[in-house]
Parts: sequence; C-alpha cells; structure tokens
Amino acid sequence: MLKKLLSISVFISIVFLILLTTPVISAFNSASLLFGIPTLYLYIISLWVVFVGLMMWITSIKQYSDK
Amino acid sequence: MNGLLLIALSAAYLLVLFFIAQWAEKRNVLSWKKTGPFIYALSIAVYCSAWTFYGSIGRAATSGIDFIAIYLGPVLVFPLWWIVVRKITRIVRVQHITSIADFLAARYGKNQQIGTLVALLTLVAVTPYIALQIKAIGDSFIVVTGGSAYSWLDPVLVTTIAICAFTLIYGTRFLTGNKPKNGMVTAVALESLVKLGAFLIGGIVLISYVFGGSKKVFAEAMQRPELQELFTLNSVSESQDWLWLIVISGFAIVLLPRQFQVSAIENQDERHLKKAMWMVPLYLLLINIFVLPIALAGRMYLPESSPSDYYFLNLANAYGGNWLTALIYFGGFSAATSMMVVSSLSLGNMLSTNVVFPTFLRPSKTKDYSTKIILTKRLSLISIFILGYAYYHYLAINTPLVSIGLTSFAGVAQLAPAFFGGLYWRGAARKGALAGILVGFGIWLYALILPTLLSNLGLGADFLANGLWGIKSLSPIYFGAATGMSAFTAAAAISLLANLFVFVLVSIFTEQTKLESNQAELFVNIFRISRRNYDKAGIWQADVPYLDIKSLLINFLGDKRTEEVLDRYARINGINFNETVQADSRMISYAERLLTEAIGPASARIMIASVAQGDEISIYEVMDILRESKEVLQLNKDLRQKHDQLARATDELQQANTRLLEYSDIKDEFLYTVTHELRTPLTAIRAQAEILEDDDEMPEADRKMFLSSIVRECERLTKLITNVLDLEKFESGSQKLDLKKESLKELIIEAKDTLRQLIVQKEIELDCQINSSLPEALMDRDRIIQVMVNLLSNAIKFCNSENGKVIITAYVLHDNLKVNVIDNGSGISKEEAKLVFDKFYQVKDQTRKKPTGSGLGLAICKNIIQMHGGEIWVQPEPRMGTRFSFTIPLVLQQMPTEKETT
Repeated sequence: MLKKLLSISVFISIVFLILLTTPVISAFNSASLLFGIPTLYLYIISLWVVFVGLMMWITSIKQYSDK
Repeated sequence: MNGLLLIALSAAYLLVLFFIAQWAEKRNVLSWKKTGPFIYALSIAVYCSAWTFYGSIGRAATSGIDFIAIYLGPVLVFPLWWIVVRKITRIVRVQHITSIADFLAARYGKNQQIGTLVALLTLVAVTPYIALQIKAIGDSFIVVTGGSAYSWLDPVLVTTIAICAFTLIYGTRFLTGNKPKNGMVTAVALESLVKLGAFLIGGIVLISYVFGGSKKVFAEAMQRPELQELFTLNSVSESQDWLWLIVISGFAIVLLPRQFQVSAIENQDERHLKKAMWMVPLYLLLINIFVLPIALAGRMYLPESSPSDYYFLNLANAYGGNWLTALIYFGGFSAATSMMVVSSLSLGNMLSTNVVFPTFLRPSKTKDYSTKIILTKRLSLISIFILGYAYYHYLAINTPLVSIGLTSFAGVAQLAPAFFGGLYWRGAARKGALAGILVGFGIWLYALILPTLLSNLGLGADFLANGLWGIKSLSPIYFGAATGMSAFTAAAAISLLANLFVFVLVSIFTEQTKLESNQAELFVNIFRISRRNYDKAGIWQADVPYLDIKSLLINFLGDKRTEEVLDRYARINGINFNETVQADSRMISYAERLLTEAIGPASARIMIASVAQGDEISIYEVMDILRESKEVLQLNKDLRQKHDQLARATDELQQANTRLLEYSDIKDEFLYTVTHELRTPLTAIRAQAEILEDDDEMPEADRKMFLSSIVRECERLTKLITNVLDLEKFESGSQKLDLKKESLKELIIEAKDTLRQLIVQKEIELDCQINSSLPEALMDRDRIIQVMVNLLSNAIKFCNSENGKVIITAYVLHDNLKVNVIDNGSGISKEEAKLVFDKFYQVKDQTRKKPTGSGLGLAICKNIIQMHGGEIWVQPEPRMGTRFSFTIPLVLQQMPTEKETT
C-alpha cells in the first residue's frame, strides 16, 4: 500500500512537471484574460490549488507513513 | 517614518523573537504533537527570503510571470518529500551529520577534501545571498524612512550586528550542532507566519481596497501592451529559463544550506515531513498570490524611477499609510532575518567543522580544545556576517535581488549530482563527486560570478565582449549569446550538465576505497540498516584505555560537559567508570559521535583514530562480513551440491567397483570353472591314454571302449571350448547377428530334427503345438536353432525318465513371438530359477546329480535372445516340470548394444 502511495506521489510530481512546462504550458501562454485574470496566471494558480488538494489527500491516507 | 523609531521597532521585534525562542527552547515545542509538524513546515518556508518578499515583485514587474518558476520547482519536489527527505533525515541522524558538507564528506568515505570543497563552495555561493538580505533590509529601511538622516549611524550595520548576536545566542549556545535548536526553529517558523501575514494583509489592503480588486488591476494592465507582456512567457529564451528555473529551484529547496538545516538536521520526527508535503506548497501559493497584481500596480501607479524591487513598500507608503508600510517592512525584515539566521548558522558550522578544524586541529591528548571549538564556531559565524556585509557594501549595490539569488541557486545546484547520486547510486565515487563539483563550480564561477563581478567593478568590458585571449567562444557570456538563452540559464545548464557528466564518468572509472564503499552502502540502503538502533552505525574495534577517551573528550567538550555526557552514558548503560579500565567499542563509538557533533565526522574520526590504534570496523565492514558470510553460505550451498554430486559419483563408483569386484569374482570363478571343466575330461583322457599306453595286451574290446571314451571326452572338450568362445563373443559384444526374415516354425522343426536321435533314444513324447500362421520375423537362423536345441536338449535331459514328455508351443503374444518349452521333470526351485542363466550354474549346485553339459548353454541362450531384443525366463514349478519361455519381438526394436548380465 505504501509503495503504491509513493508511486502515486512520484506520478503526481511528474504529471505536474509536464503540465507546468512546455509544450503543455504554451497552450495557455496568451496575453488574454479569463474570468478577468491573465490566462497563464489562472492556469498555474488553479493547477497549484489542485496540487495542494492532492497532497492533502494523499498524506491524509493512514498508510502513507506505514513502514 | 522616523528612522530611529524604525530601528527601535526592529530591535523590539528581535527582542520579542528572542524571548519566544527562549520560551520554545525551554518547553521543547518541536516535540509537541500538535504544533511540531506545523513548526517544521513553517520553518521550511525559510525558503521565502527577502528575495521572495521584494525580489519576486521586482522580477514580475520586469520580466513577468516567470518569477513564479522558482516556487514551482520546490512545489514539484514536495510529493517526493517522504521518499527523498526522509532518507536524508535518517542518514543525518544515523551519521550525526550537522551540515550538507558533512553529509557529502561522510557519503564519500568521510573524506575531508569533499567536506572542505563543499563548505567553500556553499560559502562562495551563499554569501551573496546573505548580502542580498542585508541589501534588502538596508534598501527597505531607506524606502521607509526616506533615507537616513543620521550619517553616523548605519542602520544596516546595526541590524546586521543585532541579527548576528541573535544567531550567536541560539545557534552556538550548544556546542553540538546536532542538538535540536527548538528556539531557533520556532523563531524561524514564527517569522514565516509574520512574512506571510504581512504579505497577505498588504496585498489585500492595497489590491482589494486601494486599487479596486485584482481583476481591475489586470483589466487596466491589459490596456497597456508593455504590461500585457508580463502575462506570458514571451520568447523561447523565457521558456528555456522557465524550465531551468524549475530544475534549479527544485534542487535549491533541498540543497541550500539553510533548507538542509531546517528540513533534515532540525527535523525531530519523521512524521512531521508529511504535514510539510502539503503545507509548504500551500504556503508558497499564498505568498505568491499577490505578487503579479502588486507588480502591475507598481508599474501603473508609481513613478517610473521607483525601484521595482520595492514597489510593495512604495505602494504602501504612497497609498496605505505608515502602519501598512511598517507592516510590510517587518514582513521583509522577518523574511531576511530568518534566512540570515539559518544560513549563517549552517555556513558557520560548515566553515568551522570542514575548513577550520581539519586545518588546525592536530591530534593531541593534552591540549584543551573545548573552549577553542566554541570560539571557532562563534568566529566562523561572525565571519559569515562580515563576509555578507562586505559583499553587500562593496559589490551588491546595483544588482537586482533576483539575479543575486539565482546565481546562488545555480552555485548550490552544483552539489545536486554528487548529493542525489550519492543518495541513490552506490557506485557514486569520491573522485567523481570531487571532479564533478570542481568542474560545475568552475564553470559557474567563470560564467556567472566573473561577469557580475567585472561589471560591478566596471572592469573587463573588453574581456566579456571578446573572450579569453581574444577567442570569442571563451567569453563567459558566449554560450548564452550563441544559443539565445539568458546568461543565467546558459551558465546554469552548462555547469550542471558538465558537472553531471564528469561525475558519472569519473565515478564509473574509479575504484572506491573500502570506507567509501561502506559509506555508500550505508547511505543508499539506510532504511535497511537503521531500522532500530541508530547507535550501532560505527563500531571501533580496539582496546583503548578509558582515560584516553575521557581526556580526548575533555579536550573538545570541556570538563563539565564531558562529566555530564559520561555520567549519562554510565547511567544508561549501567557502567561504573571507577572500575572500568578499557573503553569498549560502544563507548568509543559514543565518543566519536560526541566529537562528530562538535568538530565534524572527518575530524572526529582522526581524533578517535589517534587514541584507538585498532582498525575501525564500520557497520559496513560488519555488513561486508555478513555479506561475505552470505556468499559463503551460497558457496557452502554450491559446495554441498558439489559434495552431493561427488557423493553420488563416489556411490556410483563404489557400486561400479563392487560390480567390478563381482565381475572379477565371476571371472575368477569362470576361469576356475573353465579350467576345472577342462581338467575333468583331460584327466579322463590322460588316464585312459596312459592305460592304453601301459597295457599292450589289453583285450580289443576294452581297448575300443577306452578309445571311444577318449573321443567322447575330446568332443566334450571341443564343445566346452566352443561354448566358452561363443559366450566370450557375446559378452564382449563382438558377436554379430545375421538377421534375416525367418519362419520360427521352420527353425523349431530343424532343431527338433537335430535331436531326433536323442528323443527316440530316450523314448520321449514330443508334442509340438506351433501355430501354423506364425509370421516371419528378423532372426539369426543358426542362433535361434542353437537356443531351441539347447532348451530342447535340456528338457529332454531333465524330463521324467519314464513317460518323459516335452511340449513345445509357439504363438504370437503382444507383438512378440513366444516359445515355451515344457518338460515334465522334477522342476526347479525359485532360487534355482534365478540362477540357471548364470554361467556354469550347474557347477555351483552340488546337490543335484551332475548332469552332462558345460553349464554355459543357457547363458549363451540368454545372450542370443537379448540380442534379438527378446526375453528368456524360466517358470519355476517344482515337481510340476519346468517351463522355459522366450520371446522375440516381431518388429526388431533398438538392438541392445550392451547386454546385461545378471
């Protein structure tokens, strides 16, 4: 179980790295506003929020620190 | 705001911090179950220094959104926190490591060169970073007060001295670097709260209330093309910067001395790591959320001459009033001070344990070093502040905060290959680490530091433009210019990649020393080793007088503390030192640990080695021994297998030998029998011949009788010899069969015909029951006739003397021709049945009346039938007659090449 959770952690790290670098990030790299907020900025901030949520979720699982 | 008031407030702030730290130290707050994890997570936020507080806004205002990359890097590391940092934490605890230089020195065979190199590298890389904090404090002070009116008072110097004092009190209050510094960590955590609170409050007040919300700010900026640019990554160069910023800052969150200090060395409980995994990313998100709006507001609402690094303060000053300005000032102040405290502490420790001690400490039992060690540590710490201040004062005046910070990051990132390689790759070797760091560090100095220094000093413009010796490609800035990357990205990428390449290459081609590979094993497999007992990580195997150890400890720890620790050790282990003469290996390890905490692992090892002449056995050697014994076990297993094989072979040999002996016996017996068989007729012949020779007047009738007897005996001899030769041929395998399609019936009849005379003579009733449709089979005609004759003559010989009857049956059974020859004689016993096919069987059995014949006939029959692929046996039926049977396969199977003799 712990191994699986750790794999998920690594996976999260990799997926977010991909989401936050080129070429994916280029799709949001426009000088425009979305809901009144710069598109790229909004994209990064929302990903960040999702990321924090994921980290809260995964570390709250009891088996996470089981040895 | 009044300058003096601000200084007074700053002093008050530090004083409050001081008392809180003292209180935390006393109450050991880090071990509290509820607050411990929060304090740990908040202390990691020491990452956010004045650079974050002021510099990010400056960066956002000039190059836009890419300021955020240096927070995304760390954020992306946090999912790995439990995997990577827990490992580091565990190693730190097991190896009594007090800094990142210790860590690398210990990993690469407790090597002093590595420790010194890393300490110097980080010192060079981080001093500008400390200067950055001093600069931020100084600049912000000027912004808030509008420039100091008191030329006799340098507020920056004063605050620097105050912070230095604070660090001295909390950092080196305990001699041992490994002792958890509750007070300092709590103070740092508190400062993290202050800077976050200040940033959020300042952001909310300015953006939401003063400027009508961030959406309004964004909408306004959208109207201006030059601000629109800040919303995006504008060029390829910026995208490349973006990636490298993420990578470099990802390394920084682990490798920066202050980060290593708070996240690994000051960690008290591995469970705290979990909380940090989401808290720090959240913290970083919150502290960055207002950066872009504030930067845009600064660009729009402040005069163009206003320095972008201090937009926040200037906006507050212009639109928010004194108290808001002061709040933001203290936010920045707390960010700067926390960074300075932790960085200087870790750098000072590194400097003393990895540079000063190894250089000046010499093993000695008499000198008292304990006060000197504390003094050295204090002086090292103070020198860090002096260096930082000097750098600020002479070099950093005109450099933006971010570029100083980034340069530091790239410098510290040079440790990444050796550090992470050492953590996960057992083959990472000392020479590889040394070479990699030297190459990376060299490029970093040349391509990043040198241009900055030169331009700050107003020198070398020609050198920068035309390169070394006029070769353009040797210019420090050539690579960036040639690839279109920013100078920072180019230098960072090149230095890091070259570092990695050299590190891996040299590691692959160098051999590790024993201690090195032991340490590598310990680091890479820390979790397997340190499950329980942290203290068993190093075992000295030597008899050292207890007093030697004690005096060594007194030299470095002082009388009082030595007494204290030894008392504790004695209490815990139930030892009475008054009776102890020799220190045991555990005691020596304990002493080494105490010394390690005071003077670093490499020095401690030398010191202990100076008293303990014996060789050190590390856990690795123990593990080696274990591994060896494991190998031995495996070897044993192999050996056992071999042994078993050998035993089996021996067994077989023995069996073969027994068989050979049996054969030898059989041969002897055979020879004996043959000679015996030969002698009997010969004796008879000779006797009769002698009689004939001696007696000339023998009646003609007697003479004839003797002569015919001689002829008979000669025939018997001939037959015997023929049989022996025959058998020999069969047994040696030289006899070949002349196989042809033959009708068994014909052969039987032929055999019967041969014996007709005898049958008639003995008045025997012969009953032939031969199936008329017997198929033909491959047979050797003469040999089968020989078998039949043999069996038939035996039957005739042994059948009842009166009413003698012999029955021959032949038929097909399961693809075989089967022939039975049955007589009505007295039959044979079961025991005899087993033996009748043996050579000279009849000789052995002396109970029976000796029949005529050589005793080889059945043995020959058996050979013939076996060569045909068939079987021959006798049905033992005592008093019911004897039945001999044999089979011959219709289809000839594989011809048995080796016949068995049973």
